[in-house]
Amino acid sequence: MAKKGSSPLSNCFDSHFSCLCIVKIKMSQSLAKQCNEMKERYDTCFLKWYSEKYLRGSGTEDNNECSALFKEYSKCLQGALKERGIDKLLEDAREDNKENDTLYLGRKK
Amino acid sequence: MVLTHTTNHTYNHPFPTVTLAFFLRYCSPQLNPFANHVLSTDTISSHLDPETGRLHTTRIHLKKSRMPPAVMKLLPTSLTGGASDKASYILETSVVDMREGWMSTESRNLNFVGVLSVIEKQLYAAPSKTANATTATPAAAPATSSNGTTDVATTVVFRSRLGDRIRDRLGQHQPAQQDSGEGGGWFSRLGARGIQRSIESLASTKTQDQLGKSREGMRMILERLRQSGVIGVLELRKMARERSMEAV
Repeated sequence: MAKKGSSPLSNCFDSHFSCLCIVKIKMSQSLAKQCNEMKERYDTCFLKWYSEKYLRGSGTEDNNECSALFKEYSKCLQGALKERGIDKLLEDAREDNKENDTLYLGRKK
Repeated sequence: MVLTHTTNHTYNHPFPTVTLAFFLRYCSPQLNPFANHVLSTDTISSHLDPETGRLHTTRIHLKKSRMPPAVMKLLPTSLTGGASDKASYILETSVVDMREGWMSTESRNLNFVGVLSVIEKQLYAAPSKTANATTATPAAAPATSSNGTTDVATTVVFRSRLGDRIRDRLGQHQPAQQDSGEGGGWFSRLGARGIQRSIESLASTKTQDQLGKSREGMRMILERLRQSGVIGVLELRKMARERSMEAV
């Protein structure tokens, strides 16, 4: 896979992008195999944006070049979340969150 | 039924680095050997608020079950289910405010919640922020703060509602005393309150171990980032990769 010219791995040889290599080399998987490549592309992009722009105080939504990659990845992931019933678990968690916060943490959201 | 556990810790690393380590902490078992139990990590939303400059991120991690074996033993197989329950989905939400110099995170389990809900909240902050609150303006760029430490306060809330739903359901259909239903029989024998308390305290003990490991994992990533910088970490990875390619 490293042989593909378009692979994000090629970035590893450019010191500016190197933090992304952490991700590339033995990156955690996506819960849906079919989304792995998109996830890696997005994660790589995100870490670069985060460390080079956001942490330096110059990150804005407009200069977030990862948005398009995220859309693609997210579209893939949504299907997998539904398939596994995680979308339902997320809804439950949101409801439960309100209840817990009011009951036990004395916070209102 | 609820049990709360709070700890404080200070990392000897600047705040921006610690936030980066937070996002990186599950990315590689080579970088963080304490993350071997993490099977997958996905980002489900990421949003930068243009007004506040805060970055809101939601991720889902799939981890090998952290439900302590002792808790599993307390439960009837009808609740613990089959092999598919060996993993839990964890929902992680985080907000980073680089201008003000803080990061707030929350992790909670998405399945097993009927048995045990564990909510971990963390607040990371550069100490200079509190000591020097007047500098908390965007122009002051705390991201470049030379102060080398970051405080983190961790609060974990354990809550077992085992049996509550079953009781609710029974309550709707018949007098509460008639605990002859499937769940009711089991709970009346063992005492749901006692079980809930046991689950909470077993989970709390186990979590204190886990918190130590999780800090250890963060520390290893931070050490690598410090020794060689972000770029250096990558170089290390690159070398490791080249070596493994040569081997093949």
